[in-house]
Amino acid sequence: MKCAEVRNWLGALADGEVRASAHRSALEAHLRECAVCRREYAIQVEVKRMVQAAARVQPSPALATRIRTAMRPRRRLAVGRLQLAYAAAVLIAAVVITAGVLSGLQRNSGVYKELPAVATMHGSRGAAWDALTPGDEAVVPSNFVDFVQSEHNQALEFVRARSEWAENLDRFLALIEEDGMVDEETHLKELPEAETSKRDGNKAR
Amino acid sequence: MALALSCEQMVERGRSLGSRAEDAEAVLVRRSQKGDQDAFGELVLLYQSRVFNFVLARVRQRETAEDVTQEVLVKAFYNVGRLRNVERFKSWLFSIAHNHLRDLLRKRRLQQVDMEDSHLEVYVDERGPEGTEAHRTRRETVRAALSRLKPDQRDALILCDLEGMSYKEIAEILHVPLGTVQSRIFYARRRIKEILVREFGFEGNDV
Repeated sequence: MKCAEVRNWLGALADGEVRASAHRSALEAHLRECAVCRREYAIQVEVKRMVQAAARVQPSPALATRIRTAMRPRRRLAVGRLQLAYAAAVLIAAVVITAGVLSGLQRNSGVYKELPAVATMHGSRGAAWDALTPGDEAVVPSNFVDFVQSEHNQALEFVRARSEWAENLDRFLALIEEDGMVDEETHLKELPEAETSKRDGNKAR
Repeated sequence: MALALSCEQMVERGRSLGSRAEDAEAVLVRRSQKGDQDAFGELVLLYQSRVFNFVLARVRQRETAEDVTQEVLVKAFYNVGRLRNVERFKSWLFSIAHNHLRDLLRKRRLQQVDMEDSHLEVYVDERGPEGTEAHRTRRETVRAALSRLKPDQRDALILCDLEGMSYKEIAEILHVPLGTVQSRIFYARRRIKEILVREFGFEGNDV
């Protein structure tokens, strides 16, 4: 092997990175015979030892605490039990009320659709009447207006409840936002700013 | 060749001991991926000094290095779930540090500061390990020589000699071919020798 070729591998030899034993043997054979390459190899080994012995500089003891503090779950993850219970209650109420509203609206939609037909009945019961008030024998043409008013009031109540639920949901979302939910991107972007101010402070000093 | 064999034996022994530590580390990484902050806290204790020293060699100011170390580890915490091969945590973490530093230096032109800074002041470690004044001075001089290297050479040398990483790991972290790592390390050591002899008055046989 030529010196130039051998020198390319002297660092790797010092680092145990020459895996092929034949290659390693060839390098070692060259070193036995070439004083110049031996000196180069000695430099690699000795500088490696010196860098290892230079030892690490220890960071401030407070660094680990600082990192742990910065790692703490952001508030999005730390929603308290009360908030979780509130969220669960809102969701359950949402499901129940939505089901009720849908059911009520479905029933009432039949009432409104059939009103023109009712207007032509003039007090007689028949198939159309029965379809309009299924299973409700108490409803007769004479109290039909009250029946419609009652159904209408129920529908309004469902709409009001649904509106209240929507407002509650908005309030809940606003509560979480006010509570300082920070997304990851924002969080990571904030760090270099802190770093800047500290460095600027250093320069000022 | 006794010297060469002894060097290789040391490397192999180190790697064997290291493999057991890596198993325990993999457990900590898996727990961290499930959101276990205590597990990641253990990883912080294992790696904060190593990341700090890697960063310090580039930014040269202790306070800045600590800030950057914090940023790197917090970033790692929030992204550890994305790491597919837990065995590669160490090189993944140093990749984050390397990329973060590259972006930071590019953005804030710290590179200029890096090259112009006084090198001796920065590396003085008042809380350093006990030792004679001569030993302490020698360590500081070696660190100063390290700081005079080109950044690419310095990164490769620190990852190899201080962090004990393989050339393959270093190549992954620095995003360069294996041959480039080999070349950077070889020339970095040569350059350190030159600096120590010419600029710090070390005798040839001190190196």
